[in-house]
Amino acid sequence: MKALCWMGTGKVEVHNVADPTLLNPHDAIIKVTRTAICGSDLHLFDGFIPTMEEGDILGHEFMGIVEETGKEVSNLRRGACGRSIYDCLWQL
Amino acid sequence: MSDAFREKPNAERLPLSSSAAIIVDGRYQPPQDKDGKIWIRTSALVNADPDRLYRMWREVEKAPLWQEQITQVIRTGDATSQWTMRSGDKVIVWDSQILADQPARRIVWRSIGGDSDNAGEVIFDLALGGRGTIVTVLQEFRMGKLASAWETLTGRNPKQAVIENLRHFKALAETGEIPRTEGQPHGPRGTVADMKRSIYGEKIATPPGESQAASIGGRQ
Repeated sequence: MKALCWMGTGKVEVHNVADPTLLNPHDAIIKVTRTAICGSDLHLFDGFIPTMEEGDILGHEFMGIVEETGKEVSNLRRGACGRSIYDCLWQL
Repeated sequence: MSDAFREKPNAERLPLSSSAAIIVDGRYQPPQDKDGKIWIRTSALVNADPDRLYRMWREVEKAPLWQEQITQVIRTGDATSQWTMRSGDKVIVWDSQILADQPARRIVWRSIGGDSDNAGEVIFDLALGGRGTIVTVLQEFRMGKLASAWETLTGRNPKQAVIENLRHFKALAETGEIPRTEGQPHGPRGTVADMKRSIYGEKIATPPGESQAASIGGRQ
């Protein structure tokens, strides 16, 4: 997949990286159809987060199609519309 | 840091000859770092009742599920157990004994021989308003400052390990799994990133959590 990677303060690049995998039973893989930039992405971009490392993939404001779900996921199924956890939290 | 902050609350009297504790006026005083000991105090609010968390902590055989680099824990008696820790190629083994055991309230332990000299206490306090349990962990390790600095650079300082382990404990108690990103894709890492990953302890495997699937996934 294509991913926007943080490569240093004020420097981001789009790279081809491996596809994600399910690691935990509550994980889900979402194929991103639309994405946005969050104000907090700017803190990462501007280098204010010391734990950022070159190669880290950015982006947490997105929506898309559910590709795959872990075996404990009961409220999503393949093909459904998925949103990032952040969007879901805003609606609480 | 004020002296008050260094006091270990609720601790019972430990033997004066103890190699891992100092008692002043009947209160436990964690030793200064200059004594060749380092100590850590940390806490977390966990969304579960104290009894369940106590039982989870007390089930020492399951510690490898949520404690970093702990590969095996064998119960050797009612209050004793043998711990195995693997850090890279280095394997250390020590025995541990529980000094105080109050169900749904607190556990105090210390090492009784082996490759690690440590002592610790965990306290489960009911949080106000039905918001779960405040888990406070105090631990100390006999270790010089130089060794401590070396551990920080090459892997995980024991102080940081205690903090990370409590974080894993909270995740496991609340969700039944420990979130992880190791094994997920990333862009090209430079030399600096590689150094950072080592210093931040990101090369240390996240414990597997309850699920077998997670433990397989985590090793990818």
